[in-house]
Amino acid sequence: MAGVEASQAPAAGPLSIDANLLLAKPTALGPGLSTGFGIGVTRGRTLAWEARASWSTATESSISWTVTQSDLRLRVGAAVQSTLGRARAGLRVGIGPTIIHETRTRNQGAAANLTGSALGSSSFATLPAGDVEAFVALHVFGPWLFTVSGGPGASIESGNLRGGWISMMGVGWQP
Amino acid sequence: MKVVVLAIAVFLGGGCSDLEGLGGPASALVTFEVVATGDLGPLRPAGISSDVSLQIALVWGAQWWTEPFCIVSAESDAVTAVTDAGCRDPFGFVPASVSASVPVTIGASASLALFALPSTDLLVGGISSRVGYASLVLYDDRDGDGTLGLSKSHPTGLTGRGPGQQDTTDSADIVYGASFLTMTAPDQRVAFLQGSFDAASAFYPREGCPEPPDGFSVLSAGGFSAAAGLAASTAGTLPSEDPASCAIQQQPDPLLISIAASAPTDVAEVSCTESTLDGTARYQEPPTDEPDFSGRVTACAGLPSLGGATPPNLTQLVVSGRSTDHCKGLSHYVLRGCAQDVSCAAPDWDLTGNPPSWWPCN
Repeated sequence: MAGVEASQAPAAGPLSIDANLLLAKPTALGPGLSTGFGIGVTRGRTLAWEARASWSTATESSISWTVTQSDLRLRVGAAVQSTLGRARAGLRVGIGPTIIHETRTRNQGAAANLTGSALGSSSFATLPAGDVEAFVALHVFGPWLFTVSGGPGASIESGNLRGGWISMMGVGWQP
Repeated sequence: MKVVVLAIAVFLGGGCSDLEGLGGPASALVTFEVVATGDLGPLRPAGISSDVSLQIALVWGAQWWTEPFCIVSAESDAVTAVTDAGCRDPFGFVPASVSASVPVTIGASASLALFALPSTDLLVGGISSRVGYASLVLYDDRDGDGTLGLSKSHPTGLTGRGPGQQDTTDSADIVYGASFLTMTAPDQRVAFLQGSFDAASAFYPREGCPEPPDGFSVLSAGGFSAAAGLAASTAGTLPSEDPASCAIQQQPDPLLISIAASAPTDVAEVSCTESTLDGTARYQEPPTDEPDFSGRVTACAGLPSLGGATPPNLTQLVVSGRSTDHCKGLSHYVLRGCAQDVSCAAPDWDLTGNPPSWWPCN
């Protein structure tokens, strides 16, 4: 009986909160790997609603520029999930804005005593975006979960659709 | 409900972005305003009636020492003739690398922008104190490649040498002027300084002038005499400039440079690179058959000494470049020695007992 209990999820409520480390394709930078963290809250049983926020940053260089883009993803959406032993697995869809802050620095500009906009610039952009992620939340100890998720995403920049992906791994809490 | 409507509005209202990412044009690190003056008509070489594409190039300078033979007192008129034909100005600007080139019209200002710093091999000094100097060169891009072609001298006896020692062809480009031609004449030079300036630096020195500022600048100096330069070198000091002739332009002020057109024969050296930068002469073994010295000036001379170790008691045959060459240069033949060291203890060749039949320096 002890083995059966160990393979089943403990009784848990409809609310869960998770915090994760994040790896993603930068929303608008093109090449590179954006790293950061994200948090989310899910409420529901088989069909649940979600709210998530994540922040990540990526820095890449060309001959002339070093560019850092920080992506703040805000998502609301729904999830379909099922209990599999000690785990909860499902698929979630989220949409919302991705707010991007970009800083560009002219390589060698400081050594040439460039100042102002010649040396660098910064700007914001808000892009409509969405993600589809498969996720697994495994009950590890009491209300504590090990969570992992990932899937494709997309955003629209100046009328053009940009593809992407996002992956997260972290811990959750489901009392 | 209001929250949902607001979220939809934000979601649908976004999408416009001013992000540039890694793209977009690169801003220039520095821009020089250059004016070329003069009338090229009477300056063009024979057979050249018009310009193909008049341009101005920014050329970074090399650290170069002349070989001792060119600055010691000539022992004969023949030696003087060889040094006149084969030695470049010991205080002249020696190019290392062409960085940028823009079209120009005589009398009209042209903007020459740099989009990259000079590479570290063009700077002289340590990482906390290094400087590079450049000359702006007015030239006719006769070969149409969009950049100033640099040339080398044509010493004798290069046949059969290894890579990097093969003879090269002269550039077809015609040089009409330079902002920095020699330290013995007034000059305007581009300077790039990283860190602090070493006032004891002998790299195109401007002793008596204010130190260049950090970053890019345009420096002016009145020049010093060749005699003063040689005397200072002998004394281990730097020749002084007239402080009244010194000037510095730096950003954000406009960096203005003027180039006066000159006869190509007077300024061609500014596009002549040097194979050997440290002043050492390369000695050759005299071949069995007499080399083709047509168009060259020859002389027999003793080995020069600048006060160091006494050179061997040998007579060398010194040969200038051809009169038609773009760049001046010398070739040295000795009966005994090594290529890099005529005083070597175990010579690579020794023909002192059996010199070739054509050897003129007995």
